[in-house]
Amino acid sequence: MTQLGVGFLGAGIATQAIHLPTVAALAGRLRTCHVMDVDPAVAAGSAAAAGARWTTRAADVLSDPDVDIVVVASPPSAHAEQVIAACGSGCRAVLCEKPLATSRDEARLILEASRSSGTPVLVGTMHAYDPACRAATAAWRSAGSEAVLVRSRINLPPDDVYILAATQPVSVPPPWTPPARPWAQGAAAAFITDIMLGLVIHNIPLVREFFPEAGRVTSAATPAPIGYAVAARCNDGAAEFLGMVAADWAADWSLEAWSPSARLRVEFPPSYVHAGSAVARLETGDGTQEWRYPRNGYQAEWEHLADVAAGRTEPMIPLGTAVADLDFALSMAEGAAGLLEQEAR
Amino acid sequence: MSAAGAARPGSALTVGAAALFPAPRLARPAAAAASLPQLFQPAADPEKPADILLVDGVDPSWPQALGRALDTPVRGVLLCAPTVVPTAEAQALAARAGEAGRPVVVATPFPYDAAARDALSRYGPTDSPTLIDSVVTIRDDGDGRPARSLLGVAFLAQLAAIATITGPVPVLTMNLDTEHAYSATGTRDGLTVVLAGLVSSLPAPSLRIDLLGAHRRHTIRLADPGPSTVVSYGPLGMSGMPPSYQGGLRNAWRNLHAAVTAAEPVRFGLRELAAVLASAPPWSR
Repeated sequence: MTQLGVGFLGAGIATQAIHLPTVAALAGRLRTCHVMDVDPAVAAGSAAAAGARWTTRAADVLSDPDVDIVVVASPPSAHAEQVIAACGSGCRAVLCEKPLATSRDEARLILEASRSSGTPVLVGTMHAYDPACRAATAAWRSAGSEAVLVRSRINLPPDDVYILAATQPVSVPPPWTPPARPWAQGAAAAFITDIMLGLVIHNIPLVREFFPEAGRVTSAATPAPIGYAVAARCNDGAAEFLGMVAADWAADWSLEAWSPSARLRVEFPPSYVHAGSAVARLETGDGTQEWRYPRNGYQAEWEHLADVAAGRTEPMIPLGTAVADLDFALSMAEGAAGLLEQEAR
Repeated sequence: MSAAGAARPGSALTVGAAALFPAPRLARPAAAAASLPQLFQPAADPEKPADILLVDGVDPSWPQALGRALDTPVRGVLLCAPTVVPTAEAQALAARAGEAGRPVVVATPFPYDAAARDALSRYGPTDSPTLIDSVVTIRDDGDGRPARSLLGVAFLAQLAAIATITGPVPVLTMNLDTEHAYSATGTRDGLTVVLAGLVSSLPAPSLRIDLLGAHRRHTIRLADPGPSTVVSYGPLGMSGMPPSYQGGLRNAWRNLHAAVTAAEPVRFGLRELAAVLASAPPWSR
């Protein structure tokens, strides 16, 4: 089996804690060969741990003939430009961290670049690759259940507890300080947009399994200290997005869907750590089924990416679907921001 | 039984239901009363008025049924799992029962659940929740009761829980309001509540409430059949009491007995129910 080379654009915590260890675990199929970061110490430190070259220039990675897969893990504002450049570099596949882009226009340009170059682009929505989640949602679909309520809940402690369990970071990012309350003009809208595109985006592809089209946002709130509650009317049901990042409590990252005769609950492990798949339970009138696997979403995502890059399969989640996921997230963010701004006035 | 748990000799109250209401709907509260044999006994003599009557609240005509119960020489009433009715009807009944000095206990899960009370007792005044997230499911047994009435029972149970936790319920916006499901959100004084309810054919309906604040989080789950569980996270980590099998219905019966025989206050009665109804958004029946 040919070993594929991986090059990184951006070596922040996602690269250090998630991707480098996952690629290392797939050493027979993948190897990290080039790491770029604007901070030379971060680039050098991350590359050294992987035995790879380092640079502070994206062009060095994109022109490296050993790089088959380009990972775009830079700040979201740079995603579109870098994904498009990667598509033009001749690489075999691109993995872009979520969000794919920060606007619909950027997403459209990415889609065009991918199509015109024939380069598959995958988005790092690891929960969408989680084997337990996929098995359970497939069983839901086969049962013909129609969701009336879907709830995404993400209650987390500060990230560092999981980052330190997943890697030895070259540099520890400063803790996220929530904006001061009461909100200044526009702060609530900016906050909810960041939350939607930075955190809730993980669950958006899963919510779209039940409600493909973004509906109308009907309520939005930002409970202290770092919380959100957004609800939307979708088709004949409702989607609720709830979460809070606060104290040192156990992570509670879940997706639930109800129909009048079925209930699905998927409990995901927190980000960064390798703790196996989600635990997914589907209750119907026939009883309860449960799925859990040793492989987590990151591993499944990377194994699939390697297969796509090797030309063995087509992307499980087409780029058009990923673009629609982003559109859904943007619609939720815009709707929620609009309501919060209206309330502030 | 310890002395503290023993009823005084001769204090058992007779409970009648079958003459006024169809028995199958009242199987659960009847079983709960039967688990307190020193406090309650079935009314054996149909010619003699029972001390206590049960009223099934699932039927939207429960105010009329309760009115008829209050027309009898009853000493107290257990209103079981009421669905949404106009606030004025509940207020009128509260006034009438109060004037007659006849306690009416409203058996809705949260206010009477020991595990829920335990969870609330752990919340200090300085670490109140900022987000309350709750889902309630109620079972459609396929016995012909309209789903909307069942959903109204679930909604009131949830509102009663929120009122018990926070006092006045925030003004709610309905995100979804259908025959089988609702979703509602409200914010007041820095507290956001997100409520969802569903009628389901699945067994084991439950009321789940998550209280989240800057320093504490409690997850309360009242299940039918039980047990009730509470898991709390605080500065010292995770803690939880053993699952409680002292269900809300049993405690509601105890409260009714104490109210009738010892003039103790009703913890959740018609006045409290009327206040909860007043806080509810418009509800089509």
